Amino acid sequence: MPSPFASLENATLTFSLSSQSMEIDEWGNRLPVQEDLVVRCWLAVDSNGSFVGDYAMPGVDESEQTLKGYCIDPMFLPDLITHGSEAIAIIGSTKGRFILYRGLDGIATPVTGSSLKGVFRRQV
Amino acid sequence: MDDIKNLKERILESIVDLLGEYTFANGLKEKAIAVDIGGKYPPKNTKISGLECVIVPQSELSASWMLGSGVSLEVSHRIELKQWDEKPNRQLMIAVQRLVITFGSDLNVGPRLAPIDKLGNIESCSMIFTNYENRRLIRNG
Repeated sequence: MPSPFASLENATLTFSLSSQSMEIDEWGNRLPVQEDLVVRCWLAVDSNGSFVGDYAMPGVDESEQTLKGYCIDPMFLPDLITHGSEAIAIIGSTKGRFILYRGLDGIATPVTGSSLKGVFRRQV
Repeated sequence: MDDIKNLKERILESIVDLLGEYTFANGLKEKAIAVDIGGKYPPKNTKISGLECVIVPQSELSASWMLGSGVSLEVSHRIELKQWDEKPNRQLMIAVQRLVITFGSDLNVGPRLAPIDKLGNIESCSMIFTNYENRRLIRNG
């Protein structure tokens, strides 16, 4: 069943995941090979957690915004993508980084797919 | 770069049984010894247990003027030991002793930082490794 949010798609998140194979870097350290996982999704500003505008306080990075939405393709986020995972994000035509919060909000239902919540940091 | 690989092998030979483990995001494990510049290693979501050894290549640079004309330029590497186990043990002390025996006067041992729970500090010790191959004599004129 396709995602009910398919018509709202406005963003792509590219997470990098550790694969089962290992590589050796220039200094001889062994580390997992990273593979890209591209998630097409719908993201919108979360009015509860945004720092923008009048709410900006000293020390708060105003280039950050809290976003909420749903995964479209794939509809379900794999468990390997954990709380705090970072993705390269393109939302509309804006590029930046997306840091995922995966708390209880992230519970998926068969109809909607996985919900998404996180902080978007604009590339400046 | 070869001298760094050589240094890593010599450290491994002397303290391999004391070292802890890196557990990567994919579940695979590796002895907790690394060559790292700028905190890039281990990769994100890696769990570290036990004693970790990090070699920071060419971290120190010092120049001393020679009699006559010339400068002796010395490039040194830093070796950091960190104990991630919360239970107190003597692994770090034993590792320092073994490294001192292995490298002799090429190793300059810095102060040991004791673990402090309140500050979230772990037990650590940093050492500077220098040998003759890392000294360059530069003549002027």
